[in-house]
Amino acid sequence: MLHHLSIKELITSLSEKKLSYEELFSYYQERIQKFNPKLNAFISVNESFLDQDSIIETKLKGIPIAHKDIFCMKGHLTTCGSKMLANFKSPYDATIITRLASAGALTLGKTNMDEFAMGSSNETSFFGPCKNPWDLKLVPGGSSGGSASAVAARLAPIATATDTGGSIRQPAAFCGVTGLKPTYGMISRFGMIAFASSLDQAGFIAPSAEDIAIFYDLASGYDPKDSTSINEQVASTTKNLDQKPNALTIGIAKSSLDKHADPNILNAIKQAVNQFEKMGAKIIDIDLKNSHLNVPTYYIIAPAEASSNLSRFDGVRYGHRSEDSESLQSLYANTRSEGFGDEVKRRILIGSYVLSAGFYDAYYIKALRVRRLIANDYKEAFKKVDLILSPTTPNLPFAIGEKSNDPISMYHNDAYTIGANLAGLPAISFPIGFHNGLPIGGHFVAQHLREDLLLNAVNHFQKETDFHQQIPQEFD
Amino acid sequence: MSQNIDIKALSYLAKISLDEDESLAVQEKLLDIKKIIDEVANLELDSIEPLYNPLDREQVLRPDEVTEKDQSSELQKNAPETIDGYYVVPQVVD
Repeated sequence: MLHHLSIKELITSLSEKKLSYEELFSYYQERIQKFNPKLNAFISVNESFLDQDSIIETKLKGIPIAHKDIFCMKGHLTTCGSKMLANFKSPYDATIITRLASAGALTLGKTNMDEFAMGSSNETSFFGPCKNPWDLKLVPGGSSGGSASAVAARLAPIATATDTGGSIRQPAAFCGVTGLKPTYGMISRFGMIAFASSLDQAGFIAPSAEDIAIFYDLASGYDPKDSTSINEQVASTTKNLDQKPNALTIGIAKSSLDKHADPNILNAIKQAVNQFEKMGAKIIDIDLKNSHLNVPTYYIIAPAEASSNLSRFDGVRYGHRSEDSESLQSLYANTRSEGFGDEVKRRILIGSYVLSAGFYDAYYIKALRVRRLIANDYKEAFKKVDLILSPTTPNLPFAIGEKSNDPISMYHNDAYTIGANLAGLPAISFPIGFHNGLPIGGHFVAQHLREDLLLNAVNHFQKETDFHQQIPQEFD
Repeated sequence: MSQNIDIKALSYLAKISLDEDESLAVQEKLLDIKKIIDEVANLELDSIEPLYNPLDREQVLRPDEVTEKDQSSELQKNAPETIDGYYVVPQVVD
């Protein structure tokens, strides 16, 4: 039952030679072979890895990891969930891949995702929808649905993921696992296929905050290859993980979003509040007065940046190319029409609209002004509180197909998570309960660079609760 | 804001060809999205500075130096068509 062990326990077993890394890797490979056909959590699987004599000297000692298929990995397929890149083999490694490999992590495979990370259900993947291990009729969330599903079913002890508007935290909530979106700029975006560059951030999904802290400390930090990388020394998250937090002040936003939230989720939040109070936290009300503008602001900025970033897919240098092209113009237009799915096309078109002459100031620049108001609301709130608590999602995981023709309803799924991306703040989703056998996520946001506080608070919560240790029966 | 979206012009700007059925379907969805984003477009906010980088930081550039040389053949392995190190596209000049 190796899949019941935490990463810390696995590292200890590997150090003490009670377990070999080859044995551990094969164990997870077998689980993937057995369960992935039910889940479709992986797009590609690593059959073998480079044997490393010195792996026992590394910090991670050969812990297996799954990588979201948005990260470039040298010589491996990197599809971003799209037909456009279905045959793309990256000529280089993303920084996060390089750092984790040199720390001794071994790649199990690449996980399924919404196409170009655009979606909240994993249904926009060219490689078919991924399933939620708690109920195979339901979506795992998205866009990092494959990473969340794989970790929830324990097909990997940890997975990388990315988050532009909630794409780490929403699937973590839907699958009953923990997901950290760090401060914008804390983990290099080099080699991570860009969606919306001022919002995108890489992070991790794992069962617990303790698991994530170990990998976060190794992956984060300055990278000259990313021009928005933060060059500052920050506190180690693992070092202070067990330290009892000073009396925390937790803010609860009086939010119009709650009107649309499932009462069972709001009830779970109340229980979590009780738990934090028992642990010595003080709870106060705060006001994020512009939070009703999160969704409209995001759906201007993200598509605008996406339309620019995705202009690189033109059928000339890499990726899909249309056979049907008489001119350079038709080569571009037909390649992109064949290579992109409906949601990606919609977002590129909306992005082109808000950036076009006559609309640029009215939409794009105005959205950036609102973004400052939203960021200022958080700044004000953090004068009074250490953390802000809310649900991660307004609803429980929904059925595959239920919202796929209703993008607007899908967009509102990220209403609680988008604020942290717009303001570049670190945030975490963690399991706080179940309703009818389906997991519920709680969501903390902290000030910039305070990942240590997020992971510490959730680690202490997870010492008192066991929601994060639950494994769907079918996969245990 | 205008209630219409000129899908033909937009499809040209975005370099995505759409047939008639697709255009109609997309138009309907884009108008729904427009309803959401118009909430922002209708605000009066001229006194607020736009926030580009969420941490309000300057982008740091590194020196423009070649660090990894002679990668072209490796990089062109993914290209649909090349000749002698050039990318091949349909003829653009007669």
